[in-house]
Amino acid sequence: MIQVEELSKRYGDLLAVDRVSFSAPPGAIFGLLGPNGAGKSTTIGCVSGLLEPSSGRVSVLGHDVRTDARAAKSALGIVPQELALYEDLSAAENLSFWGAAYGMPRADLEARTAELLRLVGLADRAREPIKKFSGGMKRRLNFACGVVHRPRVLLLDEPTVGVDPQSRVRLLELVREEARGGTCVLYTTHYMEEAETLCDLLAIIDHGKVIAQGTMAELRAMLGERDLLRLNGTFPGDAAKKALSALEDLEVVQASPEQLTLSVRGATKRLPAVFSAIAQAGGEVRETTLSQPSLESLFIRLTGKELRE
Amino acid sequence: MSPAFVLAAAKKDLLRRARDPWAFLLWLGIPLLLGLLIGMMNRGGGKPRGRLLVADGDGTFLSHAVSSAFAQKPLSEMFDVESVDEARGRERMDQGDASALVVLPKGFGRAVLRDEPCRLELVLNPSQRILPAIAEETLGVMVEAVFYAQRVAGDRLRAAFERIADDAGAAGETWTEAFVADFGVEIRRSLERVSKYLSPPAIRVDAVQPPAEPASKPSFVSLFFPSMIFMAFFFMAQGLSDDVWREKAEGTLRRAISSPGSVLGLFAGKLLAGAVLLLLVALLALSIGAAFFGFPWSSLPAGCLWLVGSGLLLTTILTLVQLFASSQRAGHLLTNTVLFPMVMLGGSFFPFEVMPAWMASIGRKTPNGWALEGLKSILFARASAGEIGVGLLALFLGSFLLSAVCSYRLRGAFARA
Repeated sequence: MIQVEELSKRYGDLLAVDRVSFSAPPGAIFGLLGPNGAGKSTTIGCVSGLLEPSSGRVSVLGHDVRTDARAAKSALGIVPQELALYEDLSAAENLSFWGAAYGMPRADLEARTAELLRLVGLADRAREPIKKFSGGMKRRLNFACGVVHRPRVLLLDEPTVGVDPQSRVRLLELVREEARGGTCVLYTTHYMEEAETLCDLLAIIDHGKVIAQGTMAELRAMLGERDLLRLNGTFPGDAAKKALSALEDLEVVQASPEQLTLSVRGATKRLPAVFSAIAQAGGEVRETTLSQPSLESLFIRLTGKELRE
Repeated sequence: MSPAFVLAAAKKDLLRRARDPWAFLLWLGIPLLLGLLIGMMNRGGGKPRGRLLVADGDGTFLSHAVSSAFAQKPLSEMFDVESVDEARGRERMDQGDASALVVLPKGFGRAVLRDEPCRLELVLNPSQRILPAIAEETLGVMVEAVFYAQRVAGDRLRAAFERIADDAGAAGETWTEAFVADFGVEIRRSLERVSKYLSPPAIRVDAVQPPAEPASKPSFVSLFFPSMIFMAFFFMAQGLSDDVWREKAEGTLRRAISSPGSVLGLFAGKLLAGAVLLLLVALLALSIGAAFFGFPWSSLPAGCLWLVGSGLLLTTILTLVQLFASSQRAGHLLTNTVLFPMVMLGGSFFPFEVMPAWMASIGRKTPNGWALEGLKSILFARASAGEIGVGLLALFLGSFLLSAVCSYRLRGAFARA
């Protein structure tokens, strides 16, 4: 398992990770969800030993990544966000080399290489230099190189970025298989749907801080039964925001002259009152979007901004 | 650092090099091309060599003496003398198969001895200029020599000839071995008699011994050859050092840092693969040196080891320079900034022997200048086994220490930048 306690990482004046704590158990997929630049990759970097934490403690299967680095690294498998492959080598040669980097015996390595090539659908292209591969094929091989040594802890840093839908489905299925086999998976993403469908546990991270964490059910409960109502139109000054704030069980999450985002209990029944309040404040609604409680609505409620911003 | 991982890393790099053969061939091509060019310089086009046909219709010892004259140095370095019959000789001259044909008619020997007119024929190849002219000049000198011999000792020789011929004539044949031997003795006696007139005694020659030169003073080309190998090794070292940027760009360096295999192991594997490539090139270059420039074949093992050690030292120096650059482009510029002064000053571009003394003195103190001098000592058999051993130890120890610094930098600021 992974234990992160009060982890901070500072680059000069920038605090990239601010006292982050979480715990990921074996056999579970722990998601780190947040926008680009939130501190997800820095956190993964500190867990993998690539970056030196400024403070705090990270342990992998009980081994401190700083003081017992070799044992911690041996247990870890890493699938970095950017490809980490030798373009001149074949898929089999890449797997073989990274297996050797983890001290795998030759006979075991050969069998594992063949198994993984079959799993990621590259068995028929095993001997070709990978520079001829498509992006999706390289992503799958990148994943295979991360799990070649059967790690007990797997770190995946946005592994599906820029991947075609077919390869993405295949990759996500491979991640689930690893978790089913008892591997503890730490998975970073900025895709809501991916986090919702894949992860057993989630931490939402923004500006280097964990702003919420728990199971999907626990996170949904934080929203209550509130829907997310997004209104586009013209909303001059603060008049509309003030008028809406007066309404019961309604919270203005985000306001701008062109858009209002509201967190509302029983939104469908409250729409006439909302429209009326806006009209009285001199505003005009042109488009309405109603969302059921989701990670996205939770993120917007917690941060006041959309995840894709 | 696991030895198995070092070997895996070396194998990986050798495979990558094998997939990109042009870079390797370029490294290999540099010493090959230089060797070829130096070989051509050394040969300098060579002396012209031609064929001289002699149609000896006389068959006497005097006619033989003519063809023998062409077979003596320095003419023998220019002519291959071949005896032919006259008809065949003319036919071959028509085909342009020789530089010249000398026709010695029957009665040539008797006519020379009796000072009678005789016609020698020299047929020249008009398509050649130098060799036929040399043949004509040589024959002219011979005719003059005979003329002066006739003036000085002709009467005595003729008398001797008549006497010996009369004695031999009883047997029915003039040019017997006994006749030739007697006649030879008579010529020698004649020369001894006239020698006091031919060798003026008033001239005293004081022989002054020139300062002794080393028995095997190396030629310019053989001095230049090791410099050229070192220049090729500099380019190889630069190519090898550039690989850290590829590791970084391909993301493999970061993955290696996160693996228990260690960056030191990865770098050691890189150097091991580099050493294999350096050894191949060293072997090829020194074999060319031994085959064409006369370096002893026995110097090959020590020379190869020395070159591998030097190549590794240069590779680690240039890698360290790369690791302080902010980008691959900057790294290339920075290594060039270091490489070219080292090449120029360290005797790789101009041998120390042609440099001003002060510059050579500085150059010999640079790492590559020192290593180059070491290689020359091995190739010219001037170094003892002990000196070579100490030098090799210094080279490999230096490479090892610089490798440790490179590894520290690789897994630190360089990987994370």
